[in-house]
Formats: sequence, C-alpha cells, structure tokens
Amino acid sequence: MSDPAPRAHPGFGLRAVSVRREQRTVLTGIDVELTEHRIGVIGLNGSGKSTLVRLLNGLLLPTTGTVTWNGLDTRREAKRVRRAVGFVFQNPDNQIVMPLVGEDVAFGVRNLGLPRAEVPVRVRAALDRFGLGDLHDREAHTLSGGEKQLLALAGVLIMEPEVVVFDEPTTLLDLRNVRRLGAEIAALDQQVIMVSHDLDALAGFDRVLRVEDGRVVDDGPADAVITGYRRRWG
Amino acid sequence: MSPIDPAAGRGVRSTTTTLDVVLTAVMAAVIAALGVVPPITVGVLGVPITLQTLGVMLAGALLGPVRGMLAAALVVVLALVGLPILSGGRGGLGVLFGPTGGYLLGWVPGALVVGLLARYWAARVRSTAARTVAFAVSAVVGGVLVIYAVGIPWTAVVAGVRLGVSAVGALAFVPGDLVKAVLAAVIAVGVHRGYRKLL
Amino acid sequence: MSLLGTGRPAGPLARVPAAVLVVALAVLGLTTYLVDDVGVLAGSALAGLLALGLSGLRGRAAVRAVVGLIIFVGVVVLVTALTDTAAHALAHGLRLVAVLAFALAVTSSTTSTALLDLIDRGLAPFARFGLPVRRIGLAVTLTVRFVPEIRARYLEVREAQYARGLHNRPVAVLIPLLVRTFTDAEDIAAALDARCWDADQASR
Repeated sequence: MSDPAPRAHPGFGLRAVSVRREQRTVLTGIDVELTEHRIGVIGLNGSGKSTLVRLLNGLLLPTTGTVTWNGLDTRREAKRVRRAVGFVFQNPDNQIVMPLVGEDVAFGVRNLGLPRAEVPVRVRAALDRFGLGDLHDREAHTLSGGEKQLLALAGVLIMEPEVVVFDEPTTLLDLRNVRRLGAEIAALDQQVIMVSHDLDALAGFDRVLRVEDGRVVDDGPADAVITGYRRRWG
Repeated sequence: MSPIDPAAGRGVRSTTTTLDVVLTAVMAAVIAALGVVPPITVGVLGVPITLQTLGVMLAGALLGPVRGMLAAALVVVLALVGLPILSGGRGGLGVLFGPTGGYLLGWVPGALVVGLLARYWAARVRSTAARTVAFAVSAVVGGVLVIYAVGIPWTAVVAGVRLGVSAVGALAFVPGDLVKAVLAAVIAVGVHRGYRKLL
Repeated sequence: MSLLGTGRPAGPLARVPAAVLVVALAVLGLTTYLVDDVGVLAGSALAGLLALGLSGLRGRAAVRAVVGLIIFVGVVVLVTALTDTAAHALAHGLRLVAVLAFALAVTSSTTSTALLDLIDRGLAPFARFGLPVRRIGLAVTLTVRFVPEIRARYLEVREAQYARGLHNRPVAVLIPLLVRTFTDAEDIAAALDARCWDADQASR
C-alpha cells in the first residue's frame, strides 16, 4: 500500500498543555497538532519527551490544557482513546504481562471484548506476521529482547489501533534487532509517533519535534530538526 | 482504570489502581523467587537461612497492610495449587499437613500485622536509626510472633502433638527469624529511601 | 526454570477432574481428623497410599517425596510416643500417612492451571458482592509471569555484588532488586492500562 502523497490522520491536538509532577514542571507551553504520518520526538534524557508521548493515550493527564485524539479528550474518554492509540514501551520485559506468549498477545484484544472463538485466529495471525508463530506456547521469559519487543508490538497491533506511539522502542536492543524492529515499524499503515535516540531511524519521517527542558524548541521536517539537534549536542 | 499518578501513592486511597495490583503481584513474585534461589549462609558456622520469610516481612514493611497481606496470600495460594515455590522447591496441598503448613498460613496475618505497624508507626519515625528499630520490631511482631502464633497450634493439631511440644520444636528457628527481622528492617528503610511513594 | 510446564500429569488419577480430587482430599482430611478409630485410620492410610500409587509420581521425585513423608511421620510418631501414649502415636501416624499421601497424589495428578481455574470458578459468584475477581486473576498471572524474571535478576544482582567482593549480603542484593522491581511496576501498570485492561469489566 504505497501512497507517495503524505498522509494526514485525524491526529492529536495538544492545547496549552503543561505537566507538573511533585512540584516540578515537566512540560510547559505545549501547543501542537500532530496529524502527519510519521512523527519523531527527540531530546536528551529528562527533557520531557517521554512525558509528552504518554499524554497521547491518556496514560498521563495534563495538569493544564487539553489533549485530544480525533476530537476525543483524553481526560474524559481515555478508554476510547486507548482503543485507537496503541503504545509500545522501551523495556520489553515490562510490557509482556502474561506467562505464555500466546496468552500475552491475546491480552489486549480480549480486554476489548473480542469473542473467545475469534481469539486464536487473531493470535495466530499476529504472531505469524512477525515470524513468532513457533513461540506460541513458550514461556515469555525465555524469549530474547528482540523477540519480546516484536511480541509487544504484535500484542498492540492485534488490537487494530489507528495510531501506534513508541517510546524508545529500540534503545535496549542490539543492532540486528534495532534494524528488524525499525523495518517492521516503517511498514506500518498506522500513524506512528516515535520517541527515539536512533536518529537514523527518524531520517525518513515527515516531522520531528525536539524537546528540551519541558518545551518544544524545534519543530519541522526531519532533516532540519535532526541537524539542529546534532549541532546543539553532537 | 485510572491514569498513572505517582503522587497518589501515599496515604489511604479508596480505589485500587492498576499499580496496586502490579505492586502486589511483583512483591508476591519476589517472595516466590526467594524460595527458589539458594539459601544464604551466614556467620562463621555457615548456617543456611532461607530468605522467604524475609520476603513476607518485607511485603508488609514495603507495601503496607492490605497489599502486603495480599502479596503473601498470593504466594500461599500459588504454593498450595502446586507451584514449587516454597524453599527447597516444595509446593502442593500436602504442605498444609506437613511441618510448615501453619507457618505458611501464618504469612497472611503476619504480613498484615507487619504492614499495619509499618504504615502507622515505623514509617513515620523521624530518625533513621530509630526508624530501623521500629521496622525491626514490626517485623518481629508480625513476622515472628504472629506467624508462630498460627504455626505452633496448627502443627499441634495436624501432627497431633501437644502444644508445648510443638512450641519447643519451633524454638530452633527463632534466632534465624530474628536475624531476618533485622535484615528486613534495614532493607525496608533502604528501599523506602530509594522509592518514596510506597507508604 | 519452568513453573507451569512440568508436563502433563501422568497416571490413572490424572484423568479424574481436579475438583473431585480436591473434594476427596477434603473429605479424607475431615474423616481422619474427626475420627479416632484405628480401623478407619488404617483404611484411610491405605487409601492414601493407593492413591499415591495411582498417581503419576515416579522416579527421583517420588523417592524424595516418600522419604520426606517417612521422616516427618517418623519424627511425629516418635515424639508422640515419648510425650503421649503409644495409641495416640499410632493414630497420628496413620492419619498423617493418609492425608500426606493423598495430598501428594492430588498434587501429582493435577495441573496448577486446573486448580487455579477451579478457584476462579469458585470465586466468580462473589463478584456481585464486590469481590475484585478480575484483579485477583490478573495478580495471579502477573506473579507467575514475573517469578522467573525476578529470580534471574536476583541472581544477576548477586553476581554483581560477589564481583565486588560483597558475599552473603542479602541487604546489598535486595535493596537494589526491590527498588528496580517497584520502578518497573509503574511501567508494567502503564502497559496494562495502555492495552485497555479494565478492572471493572463485567465479563471476560
């Protein structure tokens, strides 16, 4: 499904958003609309970029301002937002929640109320998509880091989200798995918003935001923003 | 289903969050894991002490009365349904009728008592040294006195021995458990310093 | 290490539903503890041993379990004979053989999953009274999921401490292990919420 024209999605609106936690201002002055197909978020550790993306599916609520997806306010419609906005975390271990691989993939889609009879079919498809079919009955802790991260992605995609948000998905992986996961992400039809330290992975993105000390200090085409980032800290 | 708000970790809340469920479960996993790792040898004589009771004391000291008790209860149930998670890789319903059955059941009220004393007393003591002592006392009351108060009579009934005999049989384990209580206190103070939102 | 898959239980007793076995154990337990008649107790002990024979327990595991049973019962009988009467010692000995053997047979003939399902079904009716059945189920599976993970981390942290020359210091191992475990708990909770886990969902 190759569409040369840049795709626009219903997307997110962050208006006058700030996040304060334990007397610290983590984010402030955030006013952005995120509709592009591939959006990257970069910044140093502690800059607030993880906090920013956790606002997108209502995992965190803003202290002031509103965050909406497709017009839905995360404060009031968190459940509906999370059905459509998938999230993949940095540490594969912390997002595999069931003892067996097959059970874990099914977890999200069962939460959505998928009829029991349909679950095995979807699970098979989700695992086969990433070549994990043989691992169905394995105990999750025996998987490698790369396999776990693919399993995490499978567990999110099985829920058929419209957006997938990634928070440093490859930081803990070795090079081969970085490439593998990167390829799978690039092939996704969904809107992708990704926090990453892997600047090469973001090179083909439509837009990149740079976060520094809780503010969006740069926002534009990937090349320009990444170059600016390298110049600042490289 | 509430969003994560770490600031809400303190004090008494009326709603259980997902985080509460996870904390309880991982604490139970720690207690279980302490049953499947090799025991630690202490002192000149190299006496092996198993760390599992230490885990139960920590459950109360770290997570408070409700979550601590539930963590202990989780381990008890999992052990009884057959998971080999008790020290030495034991498990199954037979444990109830064996020498440690009552002590296992005692983990539940034990963690509860440790948790009550920890949350409403020990955690609030100002000086670090005094706080450590307070946690140690909490661990002894809940982790030794309460557990033995369940274990000794239970063993007497199950094995058909007299209460006094059962009590004498338990004496040998007291010194080891007192050491564990002190360790639990030191660990609890250290963990609360490293992760502040628990109690 | 494998907590769950120690294989399918073997032996004729494994074909009996777990619920039946548990109830049988409960009945046996009640009978032997409420009755003093040596004949009944001897019969119960035989029943227990028969059940053990019909269970799939074989080999090294069987030897270990039986030896443990003999030792424990032996100690109890001895102690009771010394502090009480010989008749009581016999009665207690038979009683323990009965329940310990039968309980061992049950454990060897059921899977933990089957027993947990039993508990789940038993608790389900209480959901309407506010029992958080979904949370309990999640907590159980989370615990089973993370035991091997935490055990591995424990061993890692212990190795690291050993490398620093800190031997046998449970404090030095457990403090970082627990802090890390609780920090991870936040992410695990976030991951559960992100995949739409709902404690109040009516049906599964």
